[in-house]
Amino acid sequence: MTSLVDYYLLQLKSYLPAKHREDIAAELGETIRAAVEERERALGHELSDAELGAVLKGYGHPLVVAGRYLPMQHLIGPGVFPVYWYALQGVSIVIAVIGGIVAGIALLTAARPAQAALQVVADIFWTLLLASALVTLAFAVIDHARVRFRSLDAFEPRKLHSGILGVRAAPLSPISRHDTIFEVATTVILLLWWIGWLDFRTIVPSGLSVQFTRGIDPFFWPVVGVCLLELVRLGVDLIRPYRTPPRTLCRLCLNGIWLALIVLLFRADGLIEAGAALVDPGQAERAVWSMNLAFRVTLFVLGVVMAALIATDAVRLVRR
Amino acid sequence: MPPELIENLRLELRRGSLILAVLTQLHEEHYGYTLRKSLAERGLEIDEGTLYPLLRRLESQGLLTSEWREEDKRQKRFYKLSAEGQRVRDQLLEEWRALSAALDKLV
Repeated sequence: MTSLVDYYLLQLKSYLPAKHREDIAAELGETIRAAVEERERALGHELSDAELGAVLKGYGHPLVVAGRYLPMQHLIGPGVFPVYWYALQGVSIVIAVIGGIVAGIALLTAARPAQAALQVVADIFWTLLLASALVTLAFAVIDHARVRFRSLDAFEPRKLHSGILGVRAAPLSPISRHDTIFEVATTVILLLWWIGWLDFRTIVPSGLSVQFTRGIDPFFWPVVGVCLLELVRLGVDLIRPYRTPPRTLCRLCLNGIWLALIVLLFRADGLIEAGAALVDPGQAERAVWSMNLAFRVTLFVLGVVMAALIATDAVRLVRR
Repeated sequence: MPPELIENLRLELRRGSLILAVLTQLHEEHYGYTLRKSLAERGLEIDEGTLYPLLRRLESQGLLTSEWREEDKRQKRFYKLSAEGQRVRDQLLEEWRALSAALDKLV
């Protein structure tokens, strides 16, 4: 009669590698049968299906048992994994930054911005997926071929301070990735608002509406351009999160441009006007006045922050 | 301290020791059941799900030899230490003793 043990072994065999299937099943079958006999001797009767089931349950699911006989496998081993992980992050960040720039351009130039933006997001997703698969495949091959990274073997601690491509890094002067991500988020929000994709009119009390006048037009492209440059700079900061003099200088210059734009915006008059939705002229005047005030206060605060950042970067450069 | 963390650390600690324990017992021939019993009698419980795959692995690494033989009207697979296995066991034992002595001084 075919017992539960036979069924168990049959299922186990289906999960085992063909080469050792019969051998392993025979050995385990012998062990299980010995255990069953031992149990029967202890109980003094032949095991019922329920008791036999309890013995087999103790061995575990055939899939789990078979899994223990499989060779230890990994796609990318621990020796290569840190380099793989770093490469994967780097490639993803580069794609995300380039994708962000392309998305920005598409939003500005496409006839149907919503559709174009969705298309860009979908493209970024598939590109990221494909790139991740290719990087994984490449590193799996590297691991399988047991390629050693000579640059890692030839690691020389005394050269750490020399930085990358001969540009000296500032030791103990890292850039926080969280800060950079926050900056990316705020820059993207600013850009989206500036090009009209985000509409904050809902925060204005019901029935009131204000908007920029044509006086803002000369500032449109400069702000878009600086935002895109900022995103590129922040992308580099994400990949290499520590300060170097060229990057400090780059940030200083960009902040200088921001400060110039802020000053020009601050000095410009009549940038905000009442929207068409307003019916009460008195109310409109008050709304425009308060929004102008809020706008100018914001610009003033931003200007102070920019000046402080410029001063900090200048001190950093001079100290080096 | 989460119990699963303790369990993982315990398993990690046991993993290498089990290999050495098995190698020390196989200077004489054993099949799975008697080997397990022999280890248990000396205070080292090891479940079959761990022992049998371990024996296979050690054999594939050339540290054990095995053969099927009939005993008590049953076909059983007997394992024994190979010459290479003996050399490895001696080296591991030396390492174990050094580690044990160092730990004794530490705790």
